[in-house]
Amino acid sequence: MSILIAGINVFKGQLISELILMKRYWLNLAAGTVNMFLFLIFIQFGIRSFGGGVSTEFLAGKMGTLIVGFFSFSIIGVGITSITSRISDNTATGILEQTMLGPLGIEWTLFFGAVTQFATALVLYLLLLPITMFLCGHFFKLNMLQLVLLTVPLWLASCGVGFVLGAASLVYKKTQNFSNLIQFLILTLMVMPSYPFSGYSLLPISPQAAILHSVIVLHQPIGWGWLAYLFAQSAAYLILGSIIFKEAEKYAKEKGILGQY
Amino acid sequence: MLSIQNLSKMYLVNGQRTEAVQPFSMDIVPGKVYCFLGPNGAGKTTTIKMLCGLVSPTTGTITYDGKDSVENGRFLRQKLGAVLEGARNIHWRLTVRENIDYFCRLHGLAKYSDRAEKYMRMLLLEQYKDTECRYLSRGNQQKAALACTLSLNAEILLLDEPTLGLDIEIGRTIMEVINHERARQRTIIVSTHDAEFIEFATDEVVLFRKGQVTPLSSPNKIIAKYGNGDNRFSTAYLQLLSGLK
Repeated sequence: MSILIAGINVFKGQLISELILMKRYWLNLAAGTVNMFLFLIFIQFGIRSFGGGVSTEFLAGKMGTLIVGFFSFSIIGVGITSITSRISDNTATGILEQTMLGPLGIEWTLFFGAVTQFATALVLYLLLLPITMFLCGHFFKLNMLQLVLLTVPLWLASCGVGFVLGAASLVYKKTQNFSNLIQFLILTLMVMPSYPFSGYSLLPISPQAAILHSVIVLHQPIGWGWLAYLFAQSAAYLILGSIIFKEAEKYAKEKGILGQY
Repeated sequence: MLSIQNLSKMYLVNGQRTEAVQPFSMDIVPGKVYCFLGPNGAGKTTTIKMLCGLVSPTTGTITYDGKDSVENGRFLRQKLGAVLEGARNIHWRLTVRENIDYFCRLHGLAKYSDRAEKYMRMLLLEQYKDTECRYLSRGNQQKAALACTLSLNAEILLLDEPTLGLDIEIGRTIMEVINHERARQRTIIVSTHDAEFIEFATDEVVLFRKGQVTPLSSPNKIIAKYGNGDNRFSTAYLQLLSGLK
């Protein structure tokens, strides 16, 4: 069996099970969608209410920043939690060890699961963003193709962070509060001045979020060099995260604590 | 052939060295059913997990067809399927059939549906195949886990206490399925305390006692040697243990 065919089958398995669970637990999916919808609506109505007599042009710029900021934060959240929650869910239900028995190893299974969750979240956002903007009667120019293209490296880098957190949960087990702390780290990374290039551009998530804001909200052009850098840096953090995860897996196997909850 | 050389596992518990499994060597001959037998905490589960690659040995090697299990982890994982202890083998929110799909795909397989149907039929799971596993009884969940593992068509099966806590009828069904696999020359390693299971479904008994691993012989030979005229395996086993004390 070639690795490619095995990989395709693992991906199919993750995708199909994800779709089954979405359909079966439709109320959870619906609540998540409504939650996302309301958040987008409230961002837009909220800023209009508080804006008072401020000009519509001024508000348009701020609204774009808020919406794209919320979108970036959510995609980062999807990238991280799709890895960490799968590990904790699999540990709680007990199938983590079975998942590890797959020939490709757990990293690929986690990654393919994360791809399906990312795709779902992206589709929902791309549907809800225009709807909520239409309902609120406020538009800002949104290049969907650019948005999708720039979201991918942001998500990849987030998966790298997810693997590091997953590694911590393999070894330390109860890490929920640690994961909560990461939210503040993410917010900090998102506001770092990492575009144009500076030392901060080497950090994960930071240049990806900065460029997404710059291109989508401020409509600044981005060169091929930067685009290549974003993808390469994100891939590097993803690989680094998976190496750290592999080391944690090795440690857990030595201690015999792999399947413990 | 699965070859175990000088395999051991030592844990540090509160700074104290605890030898969960003392060094042992043995060859697992293809097509035979091996029974890991011994009291709780004797090292059976640790050994099964070492064979699966879920616990790293402190010393020793495991090779399959001459290939080292650490260096060729992917190769070995393709060759084996396991039902681990407890209800920790299936996705509770998926149905029996969906679980089989999920785990077969997880193992990179595409064509398995005929096998899956066969094992669901043999394990009397047909009426439950579209039922979410969380609604199943403990016994049917265990049968579902076994159906998933058997559908992988792995060369080696590792079963940790497959009949633990199950009623006689379900235990018997599982035993019949294992015997069917035994007839197909599948290599099976099973950890169990079920005397009937050992007597009628296994070829070789390996004794685990306080981390010491001793390959013995067939259940029939053990009965003949230690049974004192009683032809039950449980009597022979207790006699054997009392002789070791």
